[in-house]
Amino acid sequence: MAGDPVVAVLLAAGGGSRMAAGRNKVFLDVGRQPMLAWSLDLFDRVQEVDAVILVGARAELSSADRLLKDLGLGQKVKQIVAGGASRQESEWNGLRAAAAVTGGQGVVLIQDAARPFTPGDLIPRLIAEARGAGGAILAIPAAPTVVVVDNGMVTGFPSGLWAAQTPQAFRLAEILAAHEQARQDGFQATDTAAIYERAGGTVRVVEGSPDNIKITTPEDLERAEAIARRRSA
Amino acid sequence: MPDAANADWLPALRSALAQAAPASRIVIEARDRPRSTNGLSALLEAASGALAAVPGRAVADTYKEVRDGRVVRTVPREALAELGSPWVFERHVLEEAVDRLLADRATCGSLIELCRLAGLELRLVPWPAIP
Repeated sequence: MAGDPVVAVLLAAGGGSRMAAGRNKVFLDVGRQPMLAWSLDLFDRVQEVDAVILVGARAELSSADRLLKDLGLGQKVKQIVAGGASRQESEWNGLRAAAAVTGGQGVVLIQDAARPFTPGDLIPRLIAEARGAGGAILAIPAAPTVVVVDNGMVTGFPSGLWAAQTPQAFRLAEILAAHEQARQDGFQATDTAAIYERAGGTVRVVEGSPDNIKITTPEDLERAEAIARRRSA
Repeated sequence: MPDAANADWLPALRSALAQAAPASRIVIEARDRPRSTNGLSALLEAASGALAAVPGRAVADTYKEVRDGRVVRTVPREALAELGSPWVFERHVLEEAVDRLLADRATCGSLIELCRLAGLELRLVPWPAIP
């Protein structure tokens, strides 16, 4: 792959236990198509993205492959790889596959398949920020209802707090090295950027969208349906 | 109570307190979050002894401290909580806080802001406190 390639790693291996749907939530319909299809369509449309690595649960790889064929999506999917026992392990598997595709060069986007409403017009800026600074994330200002607590008491009303979203973008070689270090140290993070921050990397913030929700619970799914209806209206 | 930041919010709260029936504690619910009264006793029990209390739950998102468009650090999830409602106050504590802020000509539009400005000690109770 020539130049400064961009690869998206699409994480779709989560168990979705809080959804209690009896199957992986990424195969649930949101607005008349499976949740996973939204991100596949997104990366098909964004010209700056050259390739996609789809990370699925080991038992669902054939289901994911069939979904791509049935819907005619995922034109840029180069590989479907099995995820690990945690999000971080799945991400690691995806990053290694991305490195194999690009020779370890370029920028990688990490995207949760449970975020179907990522605005495509933010992706080029995210990529540009990651190229310049090393890392970049979508995020939105935290709601004022988020407070600092200690031992059951509210101890602070923070300002300057932002809720991280995905995609998160990084120079591929650097996030791979940061991930490797985290693995060696047994460090567990709640998002990719925390791994990059720990390694001393700079992460810029691109303002995301309130619609770019992560679907985790049945209530989230109801909200997602409302967003999908609004978008199709 | 309305949740809009404007100059009328504190006077409206003071007026509502003046009209509320005699009671040692005040429960305040957001206008758009009506709840059954069935669980009120559970909430009041959980808030017993607190000057001010509100349901809170663990955050699900990852939060970053951001300065000048750059992440400064990731805040540990266990250090944060998301507040819900309803709120419970010892009446005299709330009345004194409102009077003090009115005297200071402070402007606020939510109970969170009121607690911050007045420096009220705020206890978290389990979410949902009311089934």
